[in-house]
Amino acid sequence: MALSETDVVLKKRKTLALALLSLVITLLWAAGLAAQSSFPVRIERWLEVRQVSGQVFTIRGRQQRTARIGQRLQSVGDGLRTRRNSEAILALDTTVGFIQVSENTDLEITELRASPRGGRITELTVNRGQARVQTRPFTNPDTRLELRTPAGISGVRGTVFGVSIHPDGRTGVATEEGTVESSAQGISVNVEAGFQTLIVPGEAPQPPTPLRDDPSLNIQTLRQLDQSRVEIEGQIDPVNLLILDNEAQQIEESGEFRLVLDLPSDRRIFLSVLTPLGRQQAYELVVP
Amino acid sequence: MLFRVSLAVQVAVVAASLVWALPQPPIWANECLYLGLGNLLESPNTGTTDGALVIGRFSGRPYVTAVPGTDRTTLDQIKVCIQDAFVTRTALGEYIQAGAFDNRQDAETVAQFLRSRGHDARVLYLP
Repeated sequence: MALSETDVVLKKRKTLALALLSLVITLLWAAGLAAQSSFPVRIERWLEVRQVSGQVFTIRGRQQRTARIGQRLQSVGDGLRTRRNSEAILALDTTVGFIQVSENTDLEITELRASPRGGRITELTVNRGQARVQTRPFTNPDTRLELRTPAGISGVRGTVFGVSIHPDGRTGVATEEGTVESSAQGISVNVEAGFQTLIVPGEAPQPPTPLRDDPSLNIQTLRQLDQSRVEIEGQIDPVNLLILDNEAQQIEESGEFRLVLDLPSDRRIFLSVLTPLGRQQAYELVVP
Repeated sequence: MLFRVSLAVQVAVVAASLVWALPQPPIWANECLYLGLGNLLESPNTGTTDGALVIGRFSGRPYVTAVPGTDRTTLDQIKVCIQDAFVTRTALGEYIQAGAFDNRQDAETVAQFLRSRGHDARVLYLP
C-alpha cells in the first residue's frame, strides 16, 4: 500500500524525534560519567601574595626573590620565607581562604591540585615559625587543606586556626572556629573550636585542652650570673613561641625555659611571646 | 498537707538559689587578703612602655620588698598572691623581689603582709 505524503512526513518526524532522544540520553550518560570521575577537571590552583611587610621572599624553582603583591605560587616546591620583623598574607585560590605568615617562617607547597570531582587539595609544609589559617567552609567533600609540620599534620575543613613551630619541631595547634584534625604517629585527634593541642615529634598529638591564646610570661628568675651574663628562668604556655632576637627559643614540654645570655650594657632584654593564633606580647626585662 | 509540702519545697529551692547566687570569694582571698593592702599585690614588678610589659627594675621605684634567698617553694608561695615576683641578685645578695614601689610605705605594707605569712620580708632601697 502506498503511503500518503502525510504519513511520510509523520514517519520522518518520528525518526528525527527518536534520534534527538537518543542524542540527549547519550549526552546525559556522558555527563554522568564525567561526574563519576572518569574525566579529570582542570582547575588552576595557586597561592597569591596579598600583603607583604618587611623582608619576604618567594621561592620558585630554587630561586629566592623578593615577594611582590600579586605574585603566585603554583607548583609543588614553591614557597614563602619571612625574615625577622616581617610577615605576609597569602590567598589560597580566589575564595578558599587566607594564610597569615608570621616572621621567621618557612612555608612550602607540598601538594596543590584539584581532585577529579573538583575538590581543592592543598598541603603546605611549615618547618619553622607561625602561621594562621582562615578558610571558608568547604562545600566539596574532596576539598582539604593541611598544614604539615615536623611533628605532625593538621587538616581543616572550614575554620580559623593557627600553628606555631618550636625549634625542635614541636607544634602548637589552636582552633578558633571549626574543627582541625591533627595527626601524628597514626593517631588523630580533633581540635574543636576553643581548644588547643601540642604535638611532640615522635609522639601522638596530646589531648586537646581549652584554648588559652594567652601570651603571658611568668618570670621566675632574673639575675646577673657574673660580670657579663644574665640568667632568665620562666614559663609560658607550651603551645606558644618564646622569641628572643627574632628567633624562637627552646622551651621544655611544660613551657618552662632557662636562658643564659650576655648582659647588655643597658641591662635590658627584649623578649616576646607568640600564640599559635598569632597574638603577640612584647616584654622588656630590666635586670636588677 | 500537700500544699504545705509544696510550700516547703518552694522555700527550700528559693533558699538554695539565693545561697548559690551569693558572690563567692576568690580562692586566694583568704591567703592574699590583708588590711590596707589595696591593689599593691597586683603586678608590683611590672610596668608598661610602648605596648611592651616591663618586668624587673624600675628607675622610679627604688623601694623594693625583698625576701632573702632563692628557695623555689618560698617563691611559689609568694607567687600565689604576687604573680610577678621573681628571684634576683644585686650587690645586696640574692633575694625574691616581691615588689618595687615609688614610696617606702607601700613597700613596707607588702613586707608586713609577707611577714604575716611567715616570710622574712624587708624593704631595700635601690636608687
